[in-house]
Amino acid sequence: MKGKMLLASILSFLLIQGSLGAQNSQEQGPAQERIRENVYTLRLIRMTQALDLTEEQTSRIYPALGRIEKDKANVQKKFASGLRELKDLLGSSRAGDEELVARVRALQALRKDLRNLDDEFERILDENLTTVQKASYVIFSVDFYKGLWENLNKARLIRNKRNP
Amino acid sequence: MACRKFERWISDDMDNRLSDKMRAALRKHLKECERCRSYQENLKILQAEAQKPGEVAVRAEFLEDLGRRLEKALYSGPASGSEKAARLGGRWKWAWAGVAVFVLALAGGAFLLLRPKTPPDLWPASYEDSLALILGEIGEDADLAESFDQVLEASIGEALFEAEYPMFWEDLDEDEIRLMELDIENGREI
Repeated sequence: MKGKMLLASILSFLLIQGSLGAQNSQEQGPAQERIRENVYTLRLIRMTQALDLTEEQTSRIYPALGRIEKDKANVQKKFASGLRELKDLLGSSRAGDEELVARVRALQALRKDLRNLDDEFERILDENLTTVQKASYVIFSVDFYKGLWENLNKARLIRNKRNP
Repeated sequence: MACRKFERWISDDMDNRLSDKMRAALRKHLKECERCRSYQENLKILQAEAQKPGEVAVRAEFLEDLGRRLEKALYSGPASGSEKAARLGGRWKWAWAGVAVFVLALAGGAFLLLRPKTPPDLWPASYEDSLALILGEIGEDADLAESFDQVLEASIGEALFEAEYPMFWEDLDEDEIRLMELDIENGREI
């Protein structure tokens, strides 16, 4: 996709998605929520570049990605509140085995929901990408993940220099 | 958009590749923009770290001193060349081997302790699992979260710049490239 058009697609999509983060930040820590949003943004841009998506592909993939991220935000909200309740329950003397097991199972189910949403996104990609793009996506995913760890190591250096 | 341009200039400035005019514009912008000042500070930290040689727990003075003492012990007292060679070829070769093993063990230990952390599992991993690992590493460390967020924002800036000007040089003809090279050589703004 041509540069300007790609940039316009990404920016307009991010604008539409903006309300999603605001909604979710009420539930999670603001710092972690900002990180989540920035990782999402970076992934979207890098993925579009790495796969060289056409306009037609972005028009099918971006909305699906947006919906899935929104669903994930809801699941994360439930997960965060479930985790808080579990902590409270463990801290109190009234915690019974059955209740604890039920809470843990509920959290496990939510985690599974998150993974299922990831799988759903990959299914959508599978339906819309060419064979070469599918192969590129595998490489991209690993590279992106590695890049995040490199960024985390850079951040550690910066943090250590600032607060020795 | 302006900040993204200045982020590139900050990097170029550190490599002494900016013209006077661009440097002056950058200084002016840095006075006004806290975000870019923070970016410059982070970049300086990273550059300083990158320029350091491998940090090994053995000090250079220690190795020099050790070498001097060994030399002194080897060559103390009157001895002929053949005697020295015999000493070196005899029990002292074991001493040198011991020193080498000791230094290697120290360097190996330092490498294991100081090497950057790498992701525990690269593939297959879902996006959410990968992100959860990163967020887990950050935990409650607010300073690390802030630094990581800044690094991410800088990466987004770079990625958007690349999206805006994807390989602009591909559209240039040979004359334009030659002109650009001349401009770079003369330190003129392109």
